[in-house]
Amino acid sequence: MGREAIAIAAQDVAVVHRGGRVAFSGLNLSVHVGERVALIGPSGAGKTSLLRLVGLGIVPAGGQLRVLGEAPWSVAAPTLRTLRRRIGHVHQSPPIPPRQRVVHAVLAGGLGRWPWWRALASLLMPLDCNGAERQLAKLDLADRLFERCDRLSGGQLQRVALARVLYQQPELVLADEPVSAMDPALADATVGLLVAEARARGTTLVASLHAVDLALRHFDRVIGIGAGRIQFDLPPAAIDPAQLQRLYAAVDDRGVGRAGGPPRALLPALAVCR
Amino acid sequence: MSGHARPPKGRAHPFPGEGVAQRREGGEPSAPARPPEGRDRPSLGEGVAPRREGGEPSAPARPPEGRDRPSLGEGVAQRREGGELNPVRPRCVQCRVAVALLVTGVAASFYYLGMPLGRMFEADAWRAMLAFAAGFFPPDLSPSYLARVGRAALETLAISLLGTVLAVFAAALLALPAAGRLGVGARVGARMLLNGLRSVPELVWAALMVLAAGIGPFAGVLALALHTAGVLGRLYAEALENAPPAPEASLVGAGSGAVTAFCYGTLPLVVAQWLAYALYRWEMNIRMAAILGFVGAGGLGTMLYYELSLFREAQASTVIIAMLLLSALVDTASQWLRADRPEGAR
Repeated sequence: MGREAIAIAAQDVAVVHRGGRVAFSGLNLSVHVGERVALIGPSGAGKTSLLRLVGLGIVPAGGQLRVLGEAPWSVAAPTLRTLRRRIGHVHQSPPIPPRQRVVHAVLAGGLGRWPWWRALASLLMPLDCNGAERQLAKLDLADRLFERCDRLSGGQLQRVALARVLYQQPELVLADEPVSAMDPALADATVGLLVAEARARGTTLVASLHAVDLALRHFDRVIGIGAGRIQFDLPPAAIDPAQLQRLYAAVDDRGVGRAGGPPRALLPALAVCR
Repeated sequence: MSGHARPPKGRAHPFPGEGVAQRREGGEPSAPARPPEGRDRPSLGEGVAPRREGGEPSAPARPPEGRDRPSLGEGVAQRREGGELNPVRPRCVQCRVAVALLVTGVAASFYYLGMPLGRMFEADAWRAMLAFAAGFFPPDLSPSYLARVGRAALETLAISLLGTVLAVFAAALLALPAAGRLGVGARVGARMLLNGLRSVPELVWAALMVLAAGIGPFAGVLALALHTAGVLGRLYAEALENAPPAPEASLVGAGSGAVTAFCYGTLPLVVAQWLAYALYRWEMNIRMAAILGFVGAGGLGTMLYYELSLFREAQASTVIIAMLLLSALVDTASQWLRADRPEGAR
């Protein structure tokens, strides 16, 4: 395989948050083109930071990072923009203006490849309703095409965000807990669709998931992240319950559960509130 | 002023602020049971309540009527007895000082302006006022004059509309640098420009524009546009600064250009607010456009100024009624537009 066949290559990468907190140090990760990878791990373990690092939202503090064959932080601005166009990022809470219509929210996925005049004209009169509707139909939301986004439920909004990324047609999809607001059955179907789309188009997919069963069922590679480092990186068949337990018990290393330990159910909430 | 010259009896009827100090003088020495709370400024309740208990024996000649008049302090004392844990904080000293200053200021202003307040209550003055008011009735309702007033009202409406629309465009353009999107220098410059536009009133702009562009509606349009651009630009910039950055940032992160990312990510967040501000300012500008005519900027104002100068009260009355109708129309329309927003948004 040539260099192009590696979608993500991180060598000894460090990520330091504003304020000096170290999210990662010495991160090594390699993802082939077309691979479908799930990230699991306790809240606050660094899943979002890892996805933002690969999605070019965070500049690494050290190490080497290549995404889709480019070293993003040492190329010229136009190349960086072209690279961004090839990466689709589904954010944890969909960053969609509440008053925007669903059709515009989905078509916004095309902004990277549309010329500016076409983008502005589409705001007045949606230029590719059919394209948006096609992506929404996959997510069972075609009837909401002209709905305002603040009239949607949390799960529907997440699906609109997914439709936007599908419309963008990127080579690398990064999804940060894309189904967290959906019921288990819908979450299962939606992750299944995401994986099937990636397989059909040969795109690389990296998704962080809270529901471990979804990760084990749909993905061919599962990476456990705890306490700012990769704890395991295995195919789902090779993961045993003890490993999972250790992964989520790594919360203790962060000090949350050290003194006696709060009830298990409280842990995610505590970690989110930190 | 006159409070100092009041007889001691005035104590029972305290001038705010002053009365408290006096009561404290009388109350404090005779308050042996006062808890050592370590407060250097006794609260109103503390200062007053002991006086009523301990102070009264030392003033036996005091008529009991003072009790019937519930003083401020009494209410506080009762509330304290009612078992409230925290003592009620005193009414602020600043309020009393402010009221005293206001009263003094009003009195001084009357004196300084030499206004004969007494004449307002003379029958003569009332008769003269009524005669003046009667001159405005009946209004001139002849069709030809109504047509002229109608044309002037349309001119006022057109001035306000054009002035506001121009202002909205200028404000949107200035709001981007003023919200700090083009760097710190542009932000400071745009803010200074907006401050300048805003701090000159419409009437002054109109007087200047009449000099610059000549008498007529164009001067009115420019005057409204300049002032309103300053006001709206500031409001628009603040709306932009308060908008969450995530939607636009995510589009830029997906390779979108700056302009399109703004239009898809941030504009939908602020556009409703921008529109509401624009409607509100338009409403104000219609009223203002009616007045701008006084300095020669066209519309109903010019007509009113003209008729009043010639003492043609009947005609002036028609113009004033037209102004009132225009205002009512604008109010209704604007109310309807605003009420319609959430409905249509559903």
